[in-house]
Amino acid sequence: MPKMQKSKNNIKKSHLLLLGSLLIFVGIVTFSWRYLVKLKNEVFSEMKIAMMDVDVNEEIIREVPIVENLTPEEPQQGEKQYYIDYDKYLGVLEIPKIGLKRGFYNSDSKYNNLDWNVCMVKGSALPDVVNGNLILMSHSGNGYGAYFAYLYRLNIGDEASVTYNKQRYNYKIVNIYTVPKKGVVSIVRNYSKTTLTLITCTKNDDTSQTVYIAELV
Amino acid sequence: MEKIYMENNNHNRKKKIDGVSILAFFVAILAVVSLVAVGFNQITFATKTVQENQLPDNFDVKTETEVANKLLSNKSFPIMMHFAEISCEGDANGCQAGKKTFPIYCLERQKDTVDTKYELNADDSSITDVGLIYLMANLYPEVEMEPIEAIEGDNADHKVEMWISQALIWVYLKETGLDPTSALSETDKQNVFQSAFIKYGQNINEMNSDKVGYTNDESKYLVDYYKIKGTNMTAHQVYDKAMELHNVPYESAYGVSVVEDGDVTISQDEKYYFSKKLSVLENTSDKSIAELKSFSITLPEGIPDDTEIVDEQFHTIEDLSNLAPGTKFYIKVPVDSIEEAVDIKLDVVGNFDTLSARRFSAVNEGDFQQLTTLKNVTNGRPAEYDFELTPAPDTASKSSMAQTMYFIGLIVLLCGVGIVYANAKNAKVKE
Repeated sequence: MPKMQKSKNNIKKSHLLLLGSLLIFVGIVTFSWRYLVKLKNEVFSEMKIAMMDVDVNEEIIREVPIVENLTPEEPQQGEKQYYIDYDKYLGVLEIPKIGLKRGFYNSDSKYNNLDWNVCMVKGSALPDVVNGNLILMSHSGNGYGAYFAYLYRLNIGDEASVTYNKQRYNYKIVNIYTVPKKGVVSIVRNYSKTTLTLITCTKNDDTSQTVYIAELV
Repeated sequence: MEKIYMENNNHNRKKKIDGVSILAFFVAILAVVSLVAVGFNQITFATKTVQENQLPDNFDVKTETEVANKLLSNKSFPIMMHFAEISCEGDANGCQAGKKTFPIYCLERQKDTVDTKYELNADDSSITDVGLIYLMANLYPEVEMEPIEAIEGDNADHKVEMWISQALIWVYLKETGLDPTSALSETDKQNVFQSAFIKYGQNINEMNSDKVGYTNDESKYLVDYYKIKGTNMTAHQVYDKAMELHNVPYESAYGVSVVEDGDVTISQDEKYYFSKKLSVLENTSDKSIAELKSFSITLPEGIPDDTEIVDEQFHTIEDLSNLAPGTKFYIKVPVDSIEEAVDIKLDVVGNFDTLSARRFSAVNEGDFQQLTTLKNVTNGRPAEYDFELTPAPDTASKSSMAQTMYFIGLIVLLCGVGIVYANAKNAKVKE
């Protein structure tokens, strides 16, 4: 009988040790979750940026064969039609001063999501549009997806760049202003300049957003 | 008796009161008249001559040597005046025997004159030199001129003003190179500005058949002696300003821009965004060249639904085609309708009353002087204003989520360590 109880106790202890070990593992994983996700994210981002650098023409823009004679208005055989592969980065935002290098997707892409990526605002212009305005947004803070966490360190005159379609567009910040958080932001910029606008929440202020206006140099 | 006295007394008082009232009334009238008179004296404005008829595109031209002959025929700067002759009815406003004449100015001094029919120059009818337009807009007959000192007599024939106007136009054309073949010599130019003969009031009197009583003031030249009526600006100063305006491109001589004031705001119920307070600013080299009369606003296609222009009291402005200068307005945009970045580009057109300088040539004749005169026209000048809005979802700090994860991870980790430690310790003690 005591032998049986001893054996039972040993089993119970081993279970508890197993449970403790499991909790330690889960705790470590949970504790370091943000770093793991960030690491994974950075690795994937780097991979995608590297892919984008290599094969913009071949993969982002693909030729689509046209089915013959569908309607008289259809393009003639041999003509090329293009579409944008939304699963690839459309461009890459770099801000050397805060060590930010992050791709962003086309505004119509399902990955153009504020919770996961730097987000391109629908209706904003691509960098090659003269006097256009590319608007990018991201979260601040220190959680996952807070890519604009350190924008507050930027000052007028600091540099940013956007790589798009194998071209690098360099910008210089010319204006920084704060607006109340109302769901809509008014853009104050020089309409005779090509600009990049970055929007994120103001550091230590839940009621306002900060807008950074950079002009093409 | 007492009653009679009282009645008399009342009667006298009544009379007295009436007298005081009348006196006060006259004093008040005098005060008002004085104030108005003082006010008028402080206002200076150029007196525009009344040109009821704009010159048509063709007309007969008559030359007149009277000015030249009167003006010191032996002193080197005679002027042959041109008059456009047009048909008129009645006998008012200078219409005589169905004809009416207007002074019109020569652009090419070295060429011959001719009495013939003139018409708009087919190749180059428009003069776009801002300085020349300004000069003509501020000389006779566009404005009346008068001597800087009060004079006796009548100045109705305007001979001096015509002489000054034509002389300054020729000097301007020579100095700016607009008339490259100008035969105007430096001496001629000196004659216009400094020649002794122009100083002498006696000579000026000779020009004026109506015997105006000028004094012999040798300190003043003719162009310094005449000023635009109602202002202190002499003909010489008009010329100087014209020279300053010579290099102003015609396109930028007048125009409008949209100016903003204040900040972008949101309504209290947070349903509408309002742009900064906007107004249209008139940018004109000189009011005599162009004056803003009204402006219009056009909202572009493809902007958020229910976007509208509202006045200072935030009431919708229905008619955007004819807004008075000085009108202030806002762009009102419903917040809910902003689903993507939108640039609301307002097209504003300022409608100006302005002057067009036209060039006329002799019809079917030889190489005679080209003539010019001004015509009132209405021109629109555009401006743009951008109001760019973008949706901006909450980009709040995500630190709270991350901290919660840290906290949970730490608790679980510590629990695991505690369980392992407790069981491992028990096992060791029992051994």
